[in-house]
Amino acid sequence: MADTAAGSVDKSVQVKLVLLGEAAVGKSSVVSRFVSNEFQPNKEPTIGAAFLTQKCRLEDRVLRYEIWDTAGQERFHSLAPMYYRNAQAAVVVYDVTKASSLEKAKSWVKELQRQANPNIVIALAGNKIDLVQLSGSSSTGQTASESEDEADDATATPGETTTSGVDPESLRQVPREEAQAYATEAGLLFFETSAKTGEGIVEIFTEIAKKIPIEHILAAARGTGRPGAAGGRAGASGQESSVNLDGDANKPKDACNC
Amino acid sequence: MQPELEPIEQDIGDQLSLLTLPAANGITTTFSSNKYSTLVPSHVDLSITTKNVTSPSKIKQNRRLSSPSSPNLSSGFKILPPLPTGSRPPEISRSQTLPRYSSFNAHLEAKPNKRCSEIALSLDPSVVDKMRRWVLAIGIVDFDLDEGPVLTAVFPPLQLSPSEAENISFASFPDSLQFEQGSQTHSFRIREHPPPSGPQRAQSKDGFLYGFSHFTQKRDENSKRGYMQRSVVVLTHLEYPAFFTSIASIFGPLYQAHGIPMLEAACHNLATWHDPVPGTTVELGFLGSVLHLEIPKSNNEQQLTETSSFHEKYDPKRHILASSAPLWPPPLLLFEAALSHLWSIWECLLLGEPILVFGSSPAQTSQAIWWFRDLLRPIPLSGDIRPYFTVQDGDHSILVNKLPPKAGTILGVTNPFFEKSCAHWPHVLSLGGRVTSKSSSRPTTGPPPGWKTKTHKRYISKNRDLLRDLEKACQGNDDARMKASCLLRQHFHSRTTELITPLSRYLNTLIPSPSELSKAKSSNKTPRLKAFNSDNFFASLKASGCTLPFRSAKQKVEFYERWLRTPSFGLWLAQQEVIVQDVLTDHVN
Repeated sequence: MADTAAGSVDKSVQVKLVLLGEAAVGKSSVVSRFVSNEFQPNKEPTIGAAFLTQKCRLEDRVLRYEIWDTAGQERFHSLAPMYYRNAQAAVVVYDVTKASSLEKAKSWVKELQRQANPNIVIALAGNKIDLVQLSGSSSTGQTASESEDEADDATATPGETTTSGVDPESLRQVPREEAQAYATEAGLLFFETSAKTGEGIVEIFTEIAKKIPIEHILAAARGTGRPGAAGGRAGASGQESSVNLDGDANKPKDACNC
Repeated sequence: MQPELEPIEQDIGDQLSLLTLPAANGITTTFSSNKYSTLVPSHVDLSITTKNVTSPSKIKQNRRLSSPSSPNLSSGFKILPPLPTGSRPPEISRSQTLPRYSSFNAHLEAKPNKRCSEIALSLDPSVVDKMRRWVLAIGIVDFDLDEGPVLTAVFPPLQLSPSEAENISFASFPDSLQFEQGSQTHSFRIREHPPPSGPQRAQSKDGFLYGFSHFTQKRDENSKRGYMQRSVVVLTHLEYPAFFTSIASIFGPLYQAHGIPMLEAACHNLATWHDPVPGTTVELGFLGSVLHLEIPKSNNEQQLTETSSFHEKYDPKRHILASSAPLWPPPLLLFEAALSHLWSIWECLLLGEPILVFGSSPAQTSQAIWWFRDLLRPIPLSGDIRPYFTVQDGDHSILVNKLPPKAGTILGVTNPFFEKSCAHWPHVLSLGGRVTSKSSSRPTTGPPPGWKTKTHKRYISKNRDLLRDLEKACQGNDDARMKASCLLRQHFHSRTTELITPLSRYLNTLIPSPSELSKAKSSNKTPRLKAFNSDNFFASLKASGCTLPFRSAKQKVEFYERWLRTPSFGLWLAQQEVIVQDVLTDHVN
């Protein structure tokens, strides 16, 4: 894997992507599903931000996402600009079982549209839909115990208190139509996702990849007006880094190779 | 090896009046982010401060002042006459400007202290351990009217002895005025004197602590002196100056703007990094920036731009060779007034000649000293080098006294006091460009830029083509200067390699032959490298020659004779013997 990755790194387009959203909506879980195809219930809350990378193949192009998974807690809010500065993409996450988290998501979108890179591609993701779906054979009770709550005590995932027999759809606080309407109006990509089951996750990153103005990024990288950071945003990558470049060519060509 | 020093009180007390510590306020501000966010909207501030870290090519300020961290208060950033220091009593004595030991004892050892309590942050011990693979701690140094620079906080808490704390305080602050408002990053190297009691802390390999300080001076109407001065200093045991200069340049302004949450984010961020494994190339995310870093196999490996391990051609703006000097601003500018002497300076470095390096800022001196250290590679460092050395350093009386300076000592200084106390030193380099009438408004202290030697006569010819290119590049734009700086580095690295080549060739003849090896094996003896013999080496040198353009055959022999007497040669030879011995031992087993 390392060799093939090294070979293609030069051709890949670096895309800085930031995840934003209220605490405990599942941002880190979305990233870990995308980057390493893993799900870990009851994750520790993120402090500051985590940095991960993942490649995504789109037709003949390889995008390499540099993902900044930010902390949702309010005390880190003022740090967010340094993560979304120069970002080409953002995923704003809310929790479908928590109406207030959509409000928070809207305020993030507003902030991004006001202060981030004007060409930024923003996707809205309503996470935790597994909690509002009838799970096949397994009981809803189990679903509840494996909540992907970020263990931030500010929020409790409603699923945790559900008892089996309750219609899971009743947990939903954000109707799909409402969020979809908002996303359309605000010009966002929209998905409902479950980091736990993986539903909708790859789609977010694939659709973002399709919408990213790649030529624009390449031109910017070639020119002097690079938005680069101290280390820059060049096509170099160390194989020893914290990058999980898992997955590759045996995936459908048109989807993210993760 | 580590003399127990009483901090030198008596011999420099009076000299303090020569210091031009900028007028400063006593910092009473807390670390809350509100302080600065009222000055500049946070997002604006961010884009400003990080821009000069990240796209240095945009910085078009006075060259003398720009540094990787030069403030982008660019419009208002120009050299002003020194702040009025008249209000400061000229007879200010050291006792007034030094931190008091008692207070350091109080807050740096276990007892709680009201200063340190400002950092109301706790980290999981596992996070601290992981972070400390890279960074021991982050310190905050504020200027106190009564005590001078004071290390007001260290996080995560680190056991420091009073002398270390004092060294860090003074080494983190410029001791001369650079600008009215702005910021700068410099580095220092101080001797470790860990406290005898208390928990063990990670020790460096060489007995030194490395500090990377981001100093900021801003107008502050709330302060008595009208200015706020603060340094944010990254302490580490890793000798990776280019890398940690970047880290300090990124973190310093962000911490100034956001305070504690930024510190917390940074610590956690550092803790997520992989181990700093020698010989690897890594991509590190740090507070919204991505750093591409090549870590050398050893401290003595030449990290060449031509053979760098990045997946594309080395670009000084994007890639970091950990052990090199910070490559921004273009190091060429440091030597502008001494370009034609660079070949002499390189010889002096190799011969272990003590050199006093004057700069107008610690950013200049530290960049220059790391540059010199880098050019010596692959030869091990034998002397004591200090990228930024102050009269308050605990080692001051050992390194600067009436005796001839020790071989290999290289001090980077900005305080004109050293001009007198080091008057007997053989070589003085003053950094920067020639003083012209245009730039004469700059507060000049210390010797005028250029190279002065009392003893050294050059042995090896200059490369006149390169010299011409360098001179031309000085007049060119930043890209040209950067390119020339890389060429310069490459040139002297290859000269250092050429110097060693005849020795390596001779050493090869000392390796036991295959027949000797099998004989040793059968008699169950460990084969050894044969003893180095100077006469035989010189015979080999005469027979096989050397690619360095010595000015005469006689000078070639003289130069090698001198070099073979330097401590560096001894270390280098010992290192080669270890390498060969390891191979031979493997062969036998």
